[in-house]
Amino acid sequence: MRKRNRKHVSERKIMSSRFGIVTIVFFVLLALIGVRLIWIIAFDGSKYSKAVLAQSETSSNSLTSKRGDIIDRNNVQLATSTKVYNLILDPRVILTNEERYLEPTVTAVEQCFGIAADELRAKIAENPNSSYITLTKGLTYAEVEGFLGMKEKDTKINGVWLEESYKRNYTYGTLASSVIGFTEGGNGAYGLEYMYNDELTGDDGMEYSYVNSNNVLETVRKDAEDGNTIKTTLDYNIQAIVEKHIAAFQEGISPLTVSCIIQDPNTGEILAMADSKNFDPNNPRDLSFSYSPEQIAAMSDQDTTNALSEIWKNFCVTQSYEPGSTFKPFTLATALEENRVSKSDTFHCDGHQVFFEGSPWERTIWCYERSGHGDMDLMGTISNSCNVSLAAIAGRVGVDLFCKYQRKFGFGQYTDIDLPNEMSCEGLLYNESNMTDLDLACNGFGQNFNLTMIQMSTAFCSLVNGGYLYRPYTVKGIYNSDGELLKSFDRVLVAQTVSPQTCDYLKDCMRLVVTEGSGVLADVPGYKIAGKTGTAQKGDKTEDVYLISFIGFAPFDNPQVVCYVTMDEPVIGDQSGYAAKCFSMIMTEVLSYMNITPDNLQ
Amino acid sequence: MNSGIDWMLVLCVVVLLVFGLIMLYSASSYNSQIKFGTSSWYVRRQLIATIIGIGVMIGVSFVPVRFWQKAAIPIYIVAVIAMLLVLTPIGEEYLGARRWLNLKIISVQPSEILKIAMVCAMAYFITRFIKFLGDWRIYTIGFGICMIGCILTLFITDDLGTTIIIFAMGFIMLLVSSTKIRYLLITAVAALVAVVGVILLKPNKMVRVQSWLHLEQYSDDIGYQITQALYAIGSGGVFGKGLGKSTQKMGFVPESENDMIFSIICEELGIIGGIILIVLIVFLIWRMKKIYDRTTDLFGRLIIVGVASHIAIQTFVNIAVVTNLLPNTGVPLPFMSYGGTAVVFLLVEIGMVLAVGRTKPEDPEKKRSDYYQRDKERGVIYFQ
Repeated sequence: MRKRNRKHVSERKIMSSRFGIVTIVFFVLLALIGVRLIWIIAFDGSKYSKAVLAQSETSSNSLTSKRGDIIDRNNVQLATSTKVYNLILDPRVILTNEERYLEPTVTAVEQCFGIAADELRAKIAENPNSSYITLTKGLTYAEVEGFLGMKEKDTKINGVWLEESYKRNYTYGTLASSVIGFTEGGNGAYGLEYMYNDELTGDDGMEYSYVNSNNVLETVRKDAEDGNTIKTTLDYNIQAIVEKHIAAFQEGISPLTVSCIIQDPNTGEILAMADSKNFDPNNPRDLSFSYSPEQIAAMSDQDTTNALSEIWKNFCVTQSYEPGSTFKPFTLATALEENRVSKSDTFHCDGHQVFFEGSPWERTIWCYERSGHGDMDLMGTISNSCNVSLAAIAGRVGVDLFCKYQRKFGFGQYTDIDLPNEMSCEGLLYNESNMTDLDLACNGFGQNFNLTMIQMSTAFCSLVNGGYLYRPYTVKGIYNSDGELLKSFDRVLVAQTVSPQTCDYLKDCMRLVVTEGSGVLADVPGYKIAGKTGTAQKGDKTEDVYLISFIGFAPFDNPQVVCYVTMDEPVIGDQSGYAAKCFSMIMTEVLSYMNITPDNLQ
Repeated sequence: MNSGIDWMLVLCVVVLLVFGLIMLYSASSYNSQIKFGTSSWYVRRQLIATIIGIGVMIGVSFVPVRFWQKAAIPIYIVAVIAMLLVLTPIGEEYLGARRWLNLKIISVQPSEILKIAMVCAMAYFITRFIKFLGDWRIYTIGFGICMIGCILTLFITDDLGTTIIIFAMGFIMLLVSSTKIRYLLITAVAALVAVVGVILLKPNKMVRVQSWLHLEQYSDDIGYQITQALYAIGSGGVFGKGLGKSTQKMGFVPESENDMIFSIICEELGIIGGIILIVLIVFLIWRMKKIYDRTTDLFGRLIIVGVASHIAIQTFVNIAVVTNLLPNTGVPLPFMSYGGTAVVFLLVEIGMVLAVGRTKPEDPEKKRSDYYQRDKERGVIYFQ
């Protein structure tokens, strides 16, 4: 009994002491944590405080803004941005719980977007630490709707999310592509998209959190500000008419390029501007609108690059060339304005004229009519398009005045049109110090110097509107996303070129071109059409390559439309009648579309 | 002291509960607002659970310890069945872990029941076979009670943290019960090998160990939680940013209302707040040791050992994880973390400790004479 009792007591003692030790161990462990806490504060406190501050400040979310629209003068939408969704894969989130998320997620993505589940599994396995893999871009709401519904219902679908962004959408594809340009990576790369990029681009919003002075986290949201809408001077219908016809001529006579500008002579507004080297801004790297599949297949990388810059280029403002006879009215206008010719003067043409006779630089200029035009009055020089007579008129004007008037009409200078990559051609013109008599003679009928279509068209406007040279422009107004007008652009008078009397006389000359001269094909039934043909020999004047053109206007008494058509190196050679015909076909439709009352033709 | 209730212990528990609710409200308000549109979703549910728990605790403190001794094995079997039910359709998943039972009105985490059931069963077994624990077969059976719990938590709920805690509780109960040191050493070594084995076999556990060793390299993915918790503690400084002024709870510390709540306590109240919490836990255990010392009943004593071990180890493991002293195991902080089942059964355990404390110390002489009386009635003859 005694022994048993003693044993019992000793057991209790052992138990007490053991639990005592255990308790002490607990206390030591808990004390260890206290030490660890002090350790953290003492050694890493400031580092961690900074880290907290840093991550609080940088917690921000970007809210995408919408790029502004481009509309025509009648509010037809030419370019707009639509909300699209990019499908983003986040393998890291999926791998936080692979068993739970992987299968439901890849199955759902396969089902909704047709991306093979195996491909997804491989992507996830290859990029376990990535949080941002773009799977598909530019999905519409209709395409993602089903997936959003599934994701909401099933929490096992995780690590795949939809990022909102905007896709640039060009409503009419190739229409006015040279003018509108396109965007790359959200920024304008060519055309109006480039020129007005700052206006079109909105301000992305931000949602960010920061810790205020009371150490309270505050979230501030700055909404995205959508870009401004730009209203162009283009008219969708006129542009479409122009493109239809230049496409037909491109197809028919295969020149390098057919181009056309339609301008309002009273303001300088561009109503239509097009060249046959088209592209679809929705897919700017697709050459198929301007080249045949065989041509594309045969291209080297360098060729492709060149071809792309060729189709993106706006021929009307970027390409320089020798204008040829369409320049003749300017020579005559200069001479009349400075009284170097009289309306009663007569001219004689033998078909050619020799310059620097007997010298090593001897050169002969020829008329189109090699046998010669014979005798003609002043108007006849234009209607016959006589090179010899125009050379003589230029000779009467003289180098100084000729160069002065070239500048006055804006040749060799930027027209300051609101389109990118404009060429001034300054170095391609002669000036007072380097122009010889031969150069003067050739310049007089539009050879040996270069200009651009927009320079020609703009200067021509001043010849038909009474002498007012307006700056050409393509944007009428800028509106904010709520439709409020922010800026409007009006005509800008750059110079007064010639007197109204001179204009009237030249209009009569150009009417004669269409009634009985070289431009009869330009006629539009019911209207008093007037204009000037052009056949410019290209290069060093030895090859038979030409740029044919026609520039004209209507209606005769109160010009409202100037139309300039050029065809670069047509296979038919020097027959400017094709350009006149193209002009006629375009103007027939444009005049009727614009409801311009037919002229009273007795 | 006449009622036998240790009022110091009760006071300590009440302080811990109130402290816990305040801190839970602060730490969970942001996540609650984000998830449920109201800042008090978590704290309201926790408050209800706490009130139920206090009621149950008071009730349990009046239940004689003898009852638990008799009911130990049935309770244990119920707990095991509850664990197995997690595998059936009424099992519930949250954040990728299947650890809950959905009983329509409430969700219950059976591993919390298992802890207290295991303590009762072990206490019952050791009390019954205290004399024979020197026999390795008996020892193994006793240890088996603990091991069944470990295996269930590890393989059904994939919860290594709780497994380690259940093991440690059982181990300490055996350690205290004057068993052969040799067996204990073998058990400890075997457990260590098992834990290492589990870590090596399960890649998701291995990654946690790696991120524990090289936290900087993993601070953006698997170590993000711990990194953010350390940021919270470090930025709180000695005195903290002030109650309710944590910035880390705002989406930076994941599970800020749960396993990581200690980091928010430190951020808002400084390490002073953290140390006060630790001191409260130490005080709680010291009070339990006091009750232990004046208890003669073996079963009651073992209950105290189990409960004290539970609270101490779980507190240690949780805070050690938050401060990156241990790899991330995911155990909640007693009295603080959100979890209804945990707080109810924690209060059941406290209630049982209180009940043990109420039991009048037996008078050894009286007990001896009782035995004598009983034996005499049975006709047992003593040879002295």
